[in-house]
Amino acid sequence: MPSPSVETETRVEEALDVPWNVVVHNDPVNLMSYVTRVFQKVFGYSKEKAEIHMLEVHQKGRSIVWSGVRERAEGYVQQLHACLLLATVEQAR
Amino acid sequence: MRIQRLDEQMVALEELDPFCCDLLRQIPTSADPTGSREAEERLFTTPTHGAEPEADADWKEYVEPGMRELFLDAVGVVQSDLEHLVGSEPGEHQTLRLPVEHLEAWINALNQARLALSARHGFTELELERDIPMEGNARALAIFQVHFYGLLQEFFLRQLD
Repeated sequence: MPSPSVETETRVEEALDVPWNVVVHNDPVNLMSYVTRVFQKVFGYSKEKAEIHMLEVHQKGRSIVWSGVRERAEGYVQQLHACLLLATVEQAR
Repeated sequence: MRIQRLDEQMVALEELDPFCCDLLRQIPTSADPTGSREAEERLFTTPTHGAEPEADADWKEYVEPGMRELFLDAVGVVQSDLEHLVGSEPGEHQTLRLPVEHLEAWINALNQARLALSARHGFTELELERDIPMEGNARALAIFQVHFYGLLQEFFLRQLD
């Protein structure tokens, strides 16, 4: 017979596993070259990868630039805000 | 105006006419969001944009003060560099020499100014992509400033590549 307490534990574990996304939103003022450089500097991305994310922001309005634990996601958002990019943290669905 | 790299340590903005000097001197004022809710909100955004009010409130209390300090520091570097523009004859073309190690601060301050000006005047993407209007009003001048500061930013970014 299944134990209700075990089911609860499983749900909690799943909730903790859901990653947090760092999302960068489009901004018509920030220069494309600047946004690319910020992605390279903050995340250590190659120029090619940084440009892919920059173009996604520009064309689609937003790009998920990093996913992982909330604390680190907030740290990245802080660094992006320090560079004046529009960035938010949101839980992945 | 002519922009060039002098050596490993220095870049120079040369042949600056009084108008260009004036635009440079306006960077600190333009970067200051005081008096404009739109500019304030653009420079100091929150991490969830209202989705989690508690997290945003914590951010305002604990993270934003550091951000303000960082932005003021960048503007401070620009302000102290701009003091070297003072002293020449009025109307004379001037040169501004900048240490490469100050360029990060310049890029940040120029970005603050561009974002604050755009938010303050409510520029749309379309307006910013159009040719610079040659009308003699404050809005047209602000668009010109946004583009002029963007040109400087672009040059400084290339120096750091």
